[in-house]
Amino acid sequence: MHKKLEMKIIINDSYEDMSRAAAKEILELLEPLSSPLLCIASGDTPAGLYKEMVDQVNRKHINTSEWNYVGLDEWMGMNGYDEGSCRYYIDQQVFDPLNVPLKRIAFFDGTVNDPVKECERVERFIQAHKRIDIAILGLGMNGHIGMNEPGTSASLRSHVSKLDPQTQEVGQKYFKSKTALTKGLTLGMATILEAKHIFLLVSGTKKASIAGKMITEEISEQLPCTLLRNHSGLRIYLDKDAAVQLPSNYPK
Amino acid sequence: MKQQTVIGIDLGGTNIRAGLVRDGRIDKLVSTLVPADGQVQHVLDELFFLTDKIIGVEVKGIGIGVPGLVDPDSGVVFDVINIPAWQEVPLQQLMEKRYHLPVMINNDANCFALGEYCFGKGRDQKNMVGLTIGTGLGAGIILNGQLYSGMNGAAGEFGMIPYLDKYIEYYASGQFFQNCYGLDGGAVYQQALNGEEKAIRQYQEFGTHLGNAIKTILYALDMECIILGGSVRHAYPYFSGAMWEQVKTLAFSRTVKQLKIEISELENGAILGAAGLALESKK
Repeated sequence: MHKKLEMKIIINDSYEDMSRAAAKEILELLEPLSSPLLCIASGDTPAGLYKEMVDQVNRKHINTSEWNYVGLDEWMGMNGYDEGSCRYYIDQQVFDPLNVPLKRIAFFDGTVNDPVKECERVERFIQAHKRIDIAILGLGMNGHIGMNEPGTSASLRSHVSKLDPQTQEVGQKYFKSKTALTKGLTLGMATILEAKHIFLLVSGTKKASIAGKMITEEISEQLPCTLLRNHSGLRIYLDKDAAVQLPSNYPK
Repeated sequence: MKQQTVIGIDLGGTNIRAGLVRDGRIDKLVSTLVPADGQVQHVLDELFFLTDKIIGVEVKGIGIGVPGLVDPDSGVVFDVINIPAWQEVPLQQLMEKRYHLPVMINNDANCFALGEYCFGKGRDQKNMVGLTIGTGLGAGIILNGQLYSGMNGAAGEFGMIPYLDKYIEYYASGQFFQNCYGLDGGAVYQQALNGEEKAIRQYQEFGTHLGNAIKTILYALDMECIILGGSVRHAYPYFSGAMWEQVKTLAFSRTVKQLKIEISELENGAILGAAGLALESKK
């Protein structure tokens, strides 16, 4: 009778199936809630999930008018007006389709003069809701979560992050022309790990190696994604391609 | 009594929902997720956070329904389902200390019965049993207009009574489909909706088992009213025939003639039931 919640890995045949299954589980959790707080990551992987969520919300007439959102991270020097910024994509994929009022959003603005104050603003928004209910995350090629790069303290809350060369390189795919990406603003691992439930989405062959490491390597700040394993409500959704290097005895 | 304003809280395994209840209506409804780590303090923080949002001077009491064992006198909660860390929490004491109001706690099945008795289909009854049929079979008993919880709050555990080779809950709850056919109850319901004969037959079989469960209740308590709640109630049209056929084999035809079996129509019955606890404590 006593079902204990613990880390669970769910593998789907395709990216579409993965997105659909994750959307279903997330919406089941959200639907009964009066004023939930979601943490949302930008990136290619969760895009399918957001599309599914918006579709299902519309189809089932789910009332999202009191949902609240905090953005996971943003490139320093950018905000929603910059094509390629994190906010730019989330506006297109989530905020615009769901007509989210501005007062229900806390998203890092990388153009502010005082980034530390900006971090405090975002943390205050979270505190006003007590905790993040559901954090939707992607997995970086180097194991980063948000812009928590390898070696970052797990005790940090929102902070300014110096980006790894690899992250700077991979980030170029979101921009039309070469863009300097040296720093970012991000929720810290301490903030993320306080979420009540965490959904990590991983897709594609190129993520297979880091997905395998995330499960098999020792939990360490050197590989921030491994820190998520300390969270008992972690769900890892993968498509088949991303799952090929998982150990056979992974927690189902 | 029912005109007073109270707070009813449904502390579930995955979410907590709290309502400000006035005249049997929920004026304000708030809810949040239970942190997956289930740590006692974290869950309490959420419970307090929600209660803080809706409490006001007009509130005269708080009732809480919990899926687990509760000592109704001391308000200590044991072994909450889906919250493993909650093995023994003096919830009543903690809530009373924070809000300086009478706090009543009982298990969720008892709250369901009380909700129906105070606000639902049981309003005109003095004696009734509320049966919640989901993945388990829970029951709450109202005797002479009062909730009967038993010595340890464990009265009405009809699901645990031996039946066939197992116990009643094994056959007469949503578990039946998994236990006997290896199927998910929700999927069978979908199939039944689509008119698939196999699924409809399975529901009839389930109805026979539920009929036997109801007979057991009738032999013990000779009740005039049984109200069905829980997710399985939605499939009532598929199992009611077989259920009644079985109930009619009861040895006492007068009891069967007087018996009413109703389907719960209360929205947020769990919250209203918890509110009923707070109202009942005033009697």
